[in-house]
Amino acid sequence: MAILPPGVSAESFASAIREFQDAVGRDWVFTSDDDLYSYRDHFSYIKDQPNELIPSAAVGPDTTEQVQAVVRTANKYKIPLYAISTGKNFAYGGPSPNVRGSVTVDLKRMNRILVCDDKRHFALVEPGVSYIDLYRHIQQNKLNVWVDTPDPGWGSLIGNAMDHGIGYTMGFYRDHFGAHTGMEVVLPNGEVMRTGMGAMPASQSWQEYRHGYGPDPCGLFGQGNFGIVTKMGFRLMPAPEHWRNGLVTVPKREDLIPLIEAVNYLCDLSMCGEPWYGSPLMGLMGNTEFRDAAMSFNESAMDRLAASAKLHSWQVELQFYGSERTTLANWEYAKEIVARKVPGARFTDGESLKTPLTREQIASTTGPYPTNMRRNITQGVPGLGIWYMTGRTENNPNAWNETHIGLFSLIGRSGEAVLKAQKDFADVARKLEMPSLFPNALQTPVNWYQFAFLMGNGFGLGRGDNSPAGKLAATAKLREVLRENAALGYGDYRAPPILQDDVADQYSFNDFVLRRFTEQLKDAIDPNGIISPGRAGIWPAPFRSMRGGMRS
Amino acid sequence: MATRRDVLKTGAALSLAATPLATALAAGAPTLALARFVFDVRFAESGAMAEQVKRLGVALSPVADDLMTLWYDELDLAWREKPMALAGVTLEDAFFVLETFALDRGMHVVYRGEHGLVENGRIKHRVAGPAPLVERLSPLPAAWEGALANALTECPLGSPPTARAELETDGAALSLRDAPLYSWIIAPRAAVTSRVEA
Repeated sequence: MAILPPGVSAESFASAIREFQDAVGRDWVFTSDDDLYSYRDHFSYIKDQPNELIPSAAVGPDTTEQVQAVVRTANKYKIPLYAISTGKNFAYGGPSPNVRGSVTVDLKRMNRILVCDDKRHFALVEPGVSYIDLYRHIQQNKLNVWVDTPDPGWGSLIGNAMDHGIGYTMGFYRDHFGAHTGMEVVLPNGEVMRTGMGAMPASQSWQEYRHGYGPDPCGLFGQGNFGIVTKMGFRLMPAPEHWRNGLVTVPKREDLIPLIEAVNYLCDLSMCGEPWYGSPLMGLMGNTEFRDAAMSFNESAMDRLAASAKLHSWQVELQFYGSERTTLANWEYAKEIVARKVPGARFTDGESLKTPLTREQIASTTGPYPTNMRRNITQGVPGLGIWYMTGRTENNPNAWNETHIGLFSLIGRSGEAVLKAQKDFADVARKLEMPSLFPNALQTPVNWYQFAFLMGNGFGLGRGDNSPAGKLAATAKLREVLRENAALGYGDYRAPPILQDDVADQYSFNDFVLRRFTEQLKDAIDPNGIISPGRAGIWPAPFRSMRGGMRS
Repeated sequence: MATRRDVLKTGAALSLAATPLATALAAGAPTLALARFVFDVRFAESGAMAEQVKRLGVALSPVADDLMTLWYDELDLAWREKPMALAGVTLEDAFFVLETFALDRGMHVVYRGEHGLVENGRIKHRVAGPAPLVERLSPLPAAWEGALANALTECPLGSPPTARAELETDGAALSLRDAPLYSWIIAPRAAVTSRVEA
């Protein structure tokens, strides 16, 4: 199934392939179906369809200089490139490009850990370094730092940060792009640029002061298409000596508001790690009376039924890093702060463990109270177990999910915002005729990013209909969800290529001035539009007519 | 360290020397040497297959809900040195993770089987892979685990044509709810060139 880049003749493409081979070596240019199989998004809603987003070829450079040569050749032949680090960004498109026929620049060979400093707490890595790789490096060298890993941990630090990925330890480190410390980028014309103190040739502090002097362009490269990042630094959390957790429960539905206020206060004082919110009332959804109350947002009935079932309405699991004494002091202070704001709050001590935890301690699911916390990720230990979610579960009784997309909307970090979003999402589901148990009045936010909440769009999309028509219908429905969410003020933070135009459309303030601004920049520095055209809805002039093309 | 392209080059050489298909499974014909058999300890069926495979001399790698220990302690390190063949019986999420890693390291799936969809007391088996292996499974006996275990240890080398089959056996429901189990073989592209997709 050989395909060509759009607008490129077979002869030109053959010439370009030869030049790619000259640049990276014949062994590292891939064009056969068999070789390109691993560059497909196997969860794509349009897999095996004529418009599936597959590459025409892939090249595997080993050095920044080789990336430069690849970019120059692409410019010469006007071939769109799509750079991947390890291509494990499943749920957000995996390795698939925005434009069918792009040449994938596979950076997995660039897998060097250039610096990992456990005195100044940073690392400088290449794109092919995965969280598992860096974790292994830290363990083997007995370094006194942790890596804040996403879940699963098989992806690239750079790739994850470039897509605004998140983690699960202390707030500062959970924002993987926010915790970067500067980058090296191959620009669309093939030049190499370093940001921050990296722009100073003799600097000794590239990974310590990312601003440098003057405007910092780094933000353009996150979810952007302004260059190919070939090195990037990250702050690493110093390994704490102790970890402790504890459970806070509050009885009534409206108690969520002061509870979140209290937890925000603690988080923003850097006193606790990621808080895990939840509600035990999901266990009552099998009760018709309660389910009716939850689906109709009958709050007094929910409180009454929760009380009669001797269950609390909300809970948050807090975790603390430090020494045994400081974690205890922080937990005691957390109790005091919450009790002041929520008189009916109750507290259950969790575990108090010296770090690093043993494998048995990490795997343990027992404790003083039931927990949904995946302990490995709270300890900076990458895992692979999260993939169980794509298989058969109670919420997905039909089978393995052939399709898999993550959609999370940003909502304000307050109880009022959560309670409103629950209702808003449920209204959208009803309006779009997507009846299911989700969304409902029990949905809780995630606090992956410290300063805002994300809430999943867990709609019932007719799971199990894996026919092409069923998948297309589901995609169309998702687009409607995104439009409805935007009208209510909820924007998504991340999306696979087939939905990136739709998410970009949500950000329409002042006649899309943000997009017009980035596209002006794009046209200026990438006139041939070769770097990931269409990424995040930014279409360069030569490809701009493709905007929205995935909707048809 | 073996590279993906090294594997491809070796693969070309092996293909030329591969045993003709018609005799691939004849006595004495070379078959894929399995370095590991990965099995999910939570299911009776995978446990039964593991016992049989162990009797045939293949090392076992038990897994449950997270492959990280197997990956971190064994496969990642071993695959950095060279590709290796392994077979297994797991849930599909574990299979997907291993297949994805394998594709990065010069390996691919050459056989896959889905065992489940219990209806009226019968188990459906959807299998796809080297034609001689698939033919060998037809018909599956009621004690299908042993027959499948034997077949997985005798995967032909080279470039055999692939085949698919839907088989049925008598039997009670699978041991965990009615979730399908997946049997699979991951092989170096050098050793078996015929990849099978879902």
